[in-house]
Amino acid sequence: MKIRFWAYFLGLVFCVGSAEAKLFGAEDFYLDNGMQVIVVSNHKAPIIRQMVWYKAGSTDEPLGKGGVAHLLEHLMFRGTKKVKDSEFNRIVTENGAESNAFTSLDYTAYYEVMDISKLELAMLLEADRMRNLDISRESFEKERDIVFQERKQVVENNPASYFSETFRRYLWQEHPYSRPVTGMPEEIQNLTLDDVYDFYRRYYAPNNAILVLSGDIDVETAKELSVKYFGGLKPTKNITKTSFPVLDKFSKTYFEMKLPRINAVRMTQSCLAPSYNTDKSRIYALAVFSRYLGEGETSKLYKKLVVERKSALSVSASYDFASRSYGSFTVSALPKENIDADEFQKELKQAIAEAVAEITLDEIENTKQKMLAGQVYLLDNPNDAAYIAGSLAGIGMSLEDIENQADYIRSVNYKDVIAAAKDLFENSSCVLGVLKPAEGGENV
Amino acid sequence: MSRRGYRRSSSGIFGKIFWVVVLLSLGLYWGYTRYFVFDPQRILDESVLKEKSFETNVVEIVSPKKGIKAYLFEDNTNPIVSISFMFKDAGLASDPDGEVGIANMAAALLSDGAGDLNAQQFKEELEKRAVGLSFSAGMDDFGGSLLTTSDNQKEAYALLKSALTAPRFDAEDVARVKKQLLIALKQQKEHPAGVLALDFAKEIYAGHPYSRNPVGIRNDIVNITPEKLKTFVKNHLTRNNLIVGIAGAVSEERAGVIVDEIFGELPANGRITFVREAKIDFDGREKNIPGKFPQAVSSFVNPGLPRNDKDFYPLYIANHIFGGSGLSSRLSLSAREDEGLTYNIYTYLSLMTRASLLKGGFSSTPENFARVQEIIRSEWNKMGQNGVTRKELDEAKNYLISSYNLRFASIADIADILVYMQKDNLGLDFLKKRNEYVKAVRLEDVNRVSKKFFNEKNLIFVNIGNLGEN
Repeated sequence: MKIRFWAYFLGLVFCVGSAEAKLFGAEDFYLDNGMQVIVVSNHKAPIIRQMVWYKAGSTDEPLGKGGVAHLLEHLMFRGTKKVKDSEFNRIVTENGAESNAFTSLDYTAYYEVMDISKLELAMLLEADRMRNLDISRESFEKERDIVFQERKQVVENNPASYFSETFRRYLWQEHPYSRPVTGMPEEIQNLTLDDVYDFYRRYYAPNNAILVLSGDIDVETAKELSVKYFGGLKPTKNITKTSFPVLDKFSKTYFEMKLPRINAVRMTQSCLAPSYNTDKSRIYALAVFSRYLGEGETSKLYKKLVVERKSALSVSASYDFASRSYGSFTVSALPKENIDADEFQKELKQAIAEAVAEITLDEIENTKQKMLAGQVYLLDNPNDAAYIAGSLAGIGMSLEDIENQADYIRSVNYKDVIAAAKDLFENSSCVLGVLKPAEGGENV
Repeated sequence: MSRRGYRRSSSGIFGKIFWVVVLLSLGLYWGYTRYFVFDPQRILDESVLKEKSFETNVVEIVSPKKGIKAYLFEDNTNPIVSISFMFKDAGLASDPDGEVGIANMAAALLSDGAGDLNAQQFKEELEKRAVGLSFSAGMDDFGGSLLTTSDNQKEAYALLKSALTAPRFDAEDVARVKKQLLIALKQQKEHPAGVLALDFAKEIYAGHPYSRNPVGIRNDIVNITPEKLKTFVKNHLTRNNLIVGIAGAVSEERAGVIVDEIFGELPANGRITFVREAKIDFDGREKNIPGKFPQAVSSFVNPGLPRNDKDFYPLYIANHIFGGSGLSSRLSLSAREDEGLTYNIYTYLSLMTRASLLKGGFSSTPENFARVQEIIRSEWNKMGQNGVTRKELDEAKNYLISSYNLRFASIADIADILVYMQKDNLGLDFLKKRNEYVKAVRLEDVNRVSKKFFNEKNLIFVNIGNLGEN
């Protein structure tokens, strides 16, 4: 009872976010140590997903230390001063929680999804490992071997992944987004325990983290508990903000890669594009354009290349605006068999140009309607909500902007779409990459 | 008075100090255990969040016109309806000879136009209303699911009905899907895990339809015509082999009407090729497929048990402890955590209609490979001989019981569960009883089935990679 009162008192100093129900009807507040807490209440089932998002990912690694963010993510399951060795896994599993983590370019996230009655245990465990990691040399070495094997399994055993990695290097050049999240094999093997602790001490702090609680909890209880478990953690002063190079050299790159085991040609084109953090004003126009151009089987490119001209077996567009630095806009295609790659490339270019020229008020309104029609589905699964809210907040999007996305999409004008599309293809650096079977035929 | 005097005189100042020290120590010890020693149970006992009862009410409805049965899980939290359905035994294994791949092809084409709407018009309707409609052909069964908002449900049901009863199979769409499947056949073999999956099935199920490539056979796909597809639908998608699960904002009364609306006009029954039980020779052999890759990949298999066997839960728990529980499983602890040899090692119960197996897999760089295999064999033996400990069993049960509610996260997942409950005859009260089934498993049950099913002499390995002298 004492704790409740104390929490209530502290609650007065919270900065409570907008409570208008939009995308999720989520609320957020900040603890005194600077930690942001986002609460998505969903009372459908007595379950909850806790996620802790650190605003540090592979992009923040020092040069030559590729893979350290990811290795740290693994080591976070290898013990603290209080919860030794692999007790973390044993305890969460015994309590029926599913737990895992992932590292990306911009952030690293940890989660537990469990019965609501076990939440406090998970909160204590997450808070504990935010500050008290305690890794033995032996655990470190074993885990370094494991992430080495992970890279071999996930990237190197799959030639298509190898192509994607090379593609990123051409697109991002000197920008840290060019580096693989896993690190290169030789980098992984040379990482030290000091490298890991250095990254941990630099970036793992409540004032660089976001706690997301999505599920069967109300905001008051969430406040009380986040103060109880995370409120006492000391913030880290002056957390270094990684600065990103300015990519303003306008370039068009083309490359072709022939790999053994590849049996079908693929073509991918990416252009650097505005992101939430570089130019918020254009991202929704581009999101609408992406859907119009190539998301789904009623999109313009699918109609033109797959249905009408029959030169592709699939084609799709995607736009990633949720990044700390620049975003990217990608079109990928699987050309039909036996079409000449150069010829297909021309067709693709032509189809994109036509699609841009054909943008009309009606087409854009129709696209927007499709984007907004299924919004209510977002209220269904608390796991999805935690992921969406956390990943957007993780790159710095305000909760207000997360919640108001439908309004932003609604307010996109077709003229904005034309301008954004033209700017994308005419004034930004793009890479076109072709993946082909190696000489000597396919492996059947 | 005398007692007081006695105490005072006998303990004196040292006695006082003694008691102060004792109390202080107890206080310190209490504080230490309270704040510095981690006790998960205490956190849970003191938690303000308590277990809540959760109603998992499943009712069986019978449609008023055609008498079609379905399970319903009503949940009015959001204005959403999810319908999952399955046509039993209409999957790839029952594709007629010469038409292997037709179930898969039908699944790809059913949402490509129906009735008056061609493929583009049909998809436009789905997208405009945010209706999610998909079909899929597994090895055993032909499945599908529909997700709609309450606002659009009427149109959604009409679209699904039309897809099932009036598919068009326009020549152009059929030609397109054929090309997509033919290229998928090639892309399957671009990485060693893909090649292994195909070769593993051939090795284990030789001569049985389960050995088929899940995409189909090239020449058969080429020769499939719109007429054959229509015949497939008529014979395979019928009321006789239909299972339906509905979850979301639907009342019992309304659910019956919906089921008639969607499925009422399907043929009462059809003709499906019979698939026999798969007979597998578990002779402990090992097959290596040569190839030079950064990592070698392995699949291994032992006999298992069907879902409705009386020993299913004991084996399920044994597998959970052995290799089914992720990072805390015995295999993962020994091969991954203790030795750092592999990123991923696991086992699971493969529950096909005509083969029940205990399967597993891992991948590692070639120099680690033999050691991982040695660990699997020795753990396999240990499991067969000694079974599991009381502590392991309790922890596994705790996990399975406490994590049970996680499966109710989404309406679509719930609708799928309703279908599997019916397919495996688990009973209308399964969701209420399931935790009881887990609780009832005894240590001797787990160890008895472990002895029977974890027999290293039966274990078959199929591996791919540069395995040198192996």
